[in-house]
Amino acid sequence: MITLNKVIYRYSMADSEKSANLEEVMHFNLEIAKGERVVVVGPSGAGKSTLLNLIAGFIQPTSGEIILNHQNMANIPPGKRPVSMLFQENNLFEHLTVAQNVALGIKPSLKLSREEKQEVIDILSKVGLEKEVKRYPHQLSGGQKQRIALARSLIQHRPILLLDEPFSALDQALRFEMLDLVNHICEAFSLTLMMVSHYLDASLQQFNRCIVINDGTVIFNDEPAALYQPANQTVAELLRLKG
Amino acid sequence: MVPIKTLLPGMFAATTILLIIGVALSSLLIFAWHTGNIAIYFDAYLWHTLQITCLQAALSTLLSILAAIVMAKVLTLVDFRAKSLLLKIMSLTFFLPSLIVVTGIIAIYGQHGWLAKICHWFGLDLHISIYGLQGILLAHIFLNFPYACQLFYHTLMAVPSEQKKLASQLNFSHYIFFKIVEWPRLKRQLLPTALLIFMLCFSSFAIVLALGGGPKYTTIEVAIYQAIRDFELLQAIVLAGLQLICLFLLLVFSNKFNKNSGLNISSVPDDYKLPLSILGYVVTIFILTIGVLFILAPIVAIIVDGIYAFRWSLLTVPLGLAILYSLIIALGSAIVTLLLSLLLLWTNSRLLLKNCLRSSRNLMIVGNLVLMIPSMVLASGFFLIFFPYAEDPLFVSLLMIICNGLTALPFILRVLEIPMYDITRQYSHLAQLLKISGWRHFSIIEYRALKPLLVISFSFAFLLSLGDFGVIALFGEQSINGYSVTTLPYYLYEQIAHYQSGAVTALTLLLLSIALMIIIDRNRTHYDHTK
Amino acid sequence: MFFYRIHLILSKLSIISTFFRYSLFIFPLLFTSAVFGQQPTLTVYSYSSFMSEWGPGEEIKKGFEAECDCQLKVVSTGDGVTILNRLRLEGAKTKADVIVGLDNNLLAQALQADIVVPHEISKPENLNIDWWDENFMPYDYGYFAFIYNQEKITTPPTSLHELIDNRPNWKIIYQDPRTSTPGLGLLFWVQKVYGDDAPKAWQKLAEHTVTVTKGWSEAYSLFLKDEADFVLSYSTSPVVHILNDHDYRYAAAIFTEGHYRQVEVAAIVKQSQQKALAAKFLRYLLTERAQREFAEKNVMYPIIHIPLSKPFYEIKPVTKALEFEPQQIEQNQKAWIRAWQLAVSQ
Repeated sequence: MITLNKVIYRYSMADSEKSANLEEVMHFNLEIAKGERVVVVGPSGAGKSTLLNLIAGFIQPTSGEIILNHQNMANIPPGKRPVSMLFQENNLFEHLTVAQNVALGIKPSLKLSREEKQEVIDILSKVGLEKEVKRYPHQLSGGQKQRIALARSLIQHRPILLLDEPFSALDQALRFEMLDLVNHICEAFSLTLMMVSHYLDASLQQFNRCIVINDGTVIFNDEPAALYQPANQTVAELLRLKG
Repeated sequence: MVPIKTLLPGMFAATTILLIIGVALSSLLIFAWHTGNIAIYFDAYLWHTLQITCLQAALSTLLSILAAIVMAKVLTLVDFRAKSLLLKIMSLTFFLPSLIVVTGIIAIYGQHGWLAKICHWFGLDLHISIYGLQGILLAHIFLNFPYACQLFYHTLMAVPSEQKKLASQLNFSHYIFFKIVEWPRLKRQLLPTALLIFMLCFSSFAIVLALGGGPKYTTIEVAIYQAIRDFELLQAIVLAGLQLICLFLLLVFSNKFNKNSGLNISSVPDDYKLPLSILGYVVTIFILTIGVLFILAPIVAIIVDGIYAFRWSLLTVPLGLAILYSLIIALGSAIVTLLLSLLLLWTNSRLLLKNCLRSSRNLMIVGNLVLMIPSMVLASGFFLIFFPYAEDPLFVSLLMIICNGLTALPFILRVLEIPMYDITRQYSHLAQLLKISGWRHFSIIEYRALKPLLVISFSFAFLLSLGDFGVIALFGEQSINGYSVTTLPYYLYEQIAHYQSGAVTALTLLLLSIALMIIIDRNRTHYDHTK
Repeated sequence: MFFYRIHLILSKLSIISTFFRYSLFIFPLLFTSAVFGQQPTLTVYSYSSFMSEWGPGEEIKKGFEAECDCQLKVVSTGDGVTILNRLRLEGAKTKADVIVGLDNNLLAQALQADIVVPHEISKPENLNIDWWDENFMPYDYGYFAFIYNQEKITTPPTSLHELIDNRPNWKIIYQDPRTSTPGLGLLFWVQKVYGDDAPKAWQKLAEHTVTVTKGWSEAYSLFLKDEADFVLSYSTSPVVHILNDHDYRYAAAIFTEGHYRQVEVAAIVKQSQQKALAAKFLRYLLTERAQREFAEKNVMYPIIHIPLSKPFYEIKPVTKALEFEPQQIEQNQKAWIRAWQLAVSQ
């Protein structure tokens, strides 16, 4: 379903303190099956978001191929990929109503037919916010905003869902609640999920698989429980996992 | 209650300002009566003047804003190496002396300017006259559009990259992205920016005088100058009153909307650009090239013409004197401006801290009063009182220091008002605990914390005075035995007549302005870092 | 006037000595008290170009001081109108002894303001024109005319009507009558020739006007830069080109209706405490030396008959002079200016 074959991504970074350009190289080899739910962890700056941006098509690999749904993604713009993605914040357009924000997932022009309007209401009821259609994002809580964004991803009918720390700003109880919702949705819609997280607590156990990234490459790729095995002690130490 | 000690500095400054304005206005009135020259014309020409003033200001504003939006959008679509330099230049053309603008515009678009030469080279005979409305608009757009553009650009760049990524995932076209994401953000900034440009164009003087091409295209400000020159003092007062009413209405209007200026938005480092089609890319590069040429050509023309025309023999004594007078007057008026604004803001910050909003607002209105009263009216008021000294360079210099100092005040207040308040509030409790007040408070807290801002304000006031062509237009003609006060802009105006030799003066003025702008820019970067 | 000669004169001046003089002037108070202490000082109010480096003032000041054992203090202030207004404002307190630089268009206003006394100088025998006044002594005169380049314009207009009707679509530059003497001259000229039809003439002229400039210098240099075919100036303007550059291309278009005449005058101020010295200065202005200065620096005709340099005889002479009575001007000038403003803004 998601295949990264010898993907290399080079980029130069202006170092303001040394006023020199540093070149960074990342390389990924990855195979994720349809319907898998994968959590991606690792130190900050390791390349977790870069991995997701590569898959979504916001950045282009220097070499190698990305195959999604058996289709090579070279030169395919983000809008044409079988992917939808959510971020930690700014997922909603502030001056559009909840309904309009979701409707964008169907048509950017916002001119919806009656059936399409009904579809928006339906999807909103799946995330429990069908009563908020006329409200604006600033009138909603953080958790509600992310649900709306999720609803919009669902209405796009794209088989792969990428989440870049979408619940990090929420408190713990809400975070677990949202994770449950995501799991539930992924099963109901049979989505493939990749989610970047910086929480290394019990939430990891909700995923089929855990990928650890350090210094631009995958150093661990197994089920979450394996992290606590003695063989993976170095990885656990890197993540400062407590056994 | 606010202690009298904190009120004193602001009261002193406000009284000084009111006194200066009051004395100038009443002297005009008294002398108008005294000379019996009390004709007032409320005829068709007056309405014509008012109409043209509004029309050219409205057109200038509209075109500047439109161009600024297009150019800002284009700038967000592509990256190139000199972009940050270009943006810096764009934020600075706004403050170029208006006569430099005139010189640059003539050098490019004049009958024998670069444009005509290039067209001639291609076998086209271009016969556009830059005198009249088109010249005024061209100069005003050149002056204002880059400033608006870089403001808009920063607003557009402040759109979170997540939203751009989402937009590309949701298959937004550039039009829909502009409509849904960018326009609502721009809209908030549009009105304050447009009003500022409108007000500056409304009271435009040197540009209209030099490029207006006669009485058909004139502004109230130019009409005031004409009236004063003809000693039709009452007519001058009527015109000044008319201008005051118009600008006051605008100011009230703008205060209603000017809630967030939205400045100081740093662009997001992790930038993402929406995909651009080949056609879109070509159009973008085309617009960008035209925009960059429009902004840079006049400046480059002044530099090239200046270097080309340079002879050692052109570094004459009058030029040296003009530089000397300009520097002395600019230095003096920068001191006046900084002093007055610090006194006003010292009291203002403490009033705000005590929640005396009304007193604070009144104080700021006094500080901004000069924005509505043409400095020409101020200067001629004093000119009439001190007529016997009118050819004394010392007196004329002092007068210009005061007038230019007052003219720059509203701009400096805008720079310093919020930081002064913030710093006072921030250390208010600490200062009370440590019993720091008065002069020590200033030297320990304001001076140290705001030093870069103070340097910016000082250079800014210096720059505004350096480029002033208004008051000197009245006084440049007064002399004893042939010697008179000449500033660079006045000398340049005299030389625009034979613009070959004006090239060196223009270059000198431009280089001085650029030097000041570099100082301002350096300190702004420094201030942003320390904040 | 004649700004473009500045570079010629400047190049002749030694930088060091000039700077020394200028540097003294930065401390004006020191300068005035130190120098004007001993000898009697005659204060002259004049227009600003009189004392400028290209004006006649410097030489006349030197020449007069050499024979009068006095100091001449020339206060320059704008143009003729400014001189007049300044004297009105200062009233009895004025320090002026002599005014130089009013012209025939300001006489009624000056008389009404009651600021001068008769000069009591007898009319010279060898006067060039039929113009003399008991209060105001003429010192030079000239005619307003449109200047063109003979290489570009081969068949120039022979009348004001022909220029204003403008069949060949000539481009014209003139000056604002509110701020410039030639501009005011043209206002009277058109008024004299067209009478009540003047506004229509102005509208016609506006169609072919490149720009209306604030002063003479802007207009003339734009013309020299080829921005227009005709520029309003004086009939004597071609003299400068012949004198300086041996350039015979420029000529004045001579019109059959005649040309409006400007006569520049000097007068003794009523409040002067040194009327004898003032009269002496006025008489000096009529000497051949001073007259030559006026002729060659102002590029005007001298008021008395003196031999002039060759170019003055090589240019086309004006055949008929036009002039309004001072009273007519005083009564109508402002209305005419408003009419002009309105006509050209439509």
